[in-house]
Amino acid sequence: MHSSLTPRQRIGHAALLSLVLLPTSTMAATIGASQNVDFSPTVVSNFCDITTTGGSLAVERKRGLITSDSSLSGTFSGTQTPGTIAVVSNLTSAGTVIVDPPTLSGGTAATASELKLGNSSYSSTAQSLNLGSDGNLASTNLHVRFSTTSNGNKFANGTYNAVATVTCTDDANR
Amino acid sequence: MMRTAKTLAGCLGAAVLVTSSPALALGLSPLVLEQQRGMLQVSNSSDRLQRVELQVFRVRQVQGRSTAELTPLPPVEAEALIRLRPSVFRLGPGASRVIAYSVAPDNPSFYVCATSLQGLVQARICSRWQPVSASARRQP
Repeated sequence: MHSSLTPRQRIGHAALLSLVLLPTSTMAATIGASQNVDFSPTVVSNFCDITTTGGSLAVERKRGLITSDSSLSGTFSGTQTPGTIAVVSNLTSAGTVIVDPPTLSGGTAATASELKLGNSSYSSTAQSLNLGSDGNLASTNLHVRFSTTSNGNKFANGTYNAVATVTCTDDANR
Repeated sequence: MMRTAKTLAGCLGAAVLVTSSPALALGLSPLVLEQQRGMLQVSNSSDRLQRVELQVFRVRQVQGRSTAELTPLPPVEAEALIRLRPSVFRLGPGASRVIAYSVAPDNPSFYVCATSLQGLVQARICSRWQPVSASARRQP
């Protein structure tokens, strides 16, 4: 096919070709420097998520008991609401959730500080919760109760705050 | 800290006090630190802003399981074990943050925990510094 072109036609085609190519090379020159799109990193590993809701405390009318537990007998001032704990993780049997006994801050020190998980009984020592085979723990109620033998077995007037610490760790031996 | 929403509503002339306590969700990864330098990822999968603190704790045993002590190490002592910047920050709803860390060499095991407080519950998720032993490093 090329052999049928005259020298003049060849020059004409070459000129046309250069016109076609020229804009392309010009466009390439005007794109400018390349731009990186940065993504912040992620960490791929074992994880644990704790979801909590805060509870609320009430004081028994005789002021000897502060609790979040509405099932306890007595007449209370305030609204008792349990805290709740739920866990999502990719841990198996090595996953550990520990709930420590609560602490009470306020005018009168508590002489007994106890916690109750779900329908278990009250305890003054740290409790461990087992994760399911899927690594999760369904929402579990956390109740606290405090009593005192100080100040004539009564909590003095004032504001009292309670905190129970819930800890998730991976206890796998390596 | 628990945020209490109080809604005063009139209902047949009676005032009703409604208390709500939305959930907070705190996450941490990884849960075992084996390299002297690396990243921790702290996440907030709830729909509320939360204040997160990274603190360092010694190891204790509870019912035969390892967990973190309740009282954090003083800042100076913690800083001698592990450098974390920042150690206190706020995480928006659905946000996560990657924190670089570096552990001083030849340290015994300890925990670094992300902590957040809501009402009666202080949530802690803890990563244990557990260096790969010298014998394990020698293995191919």
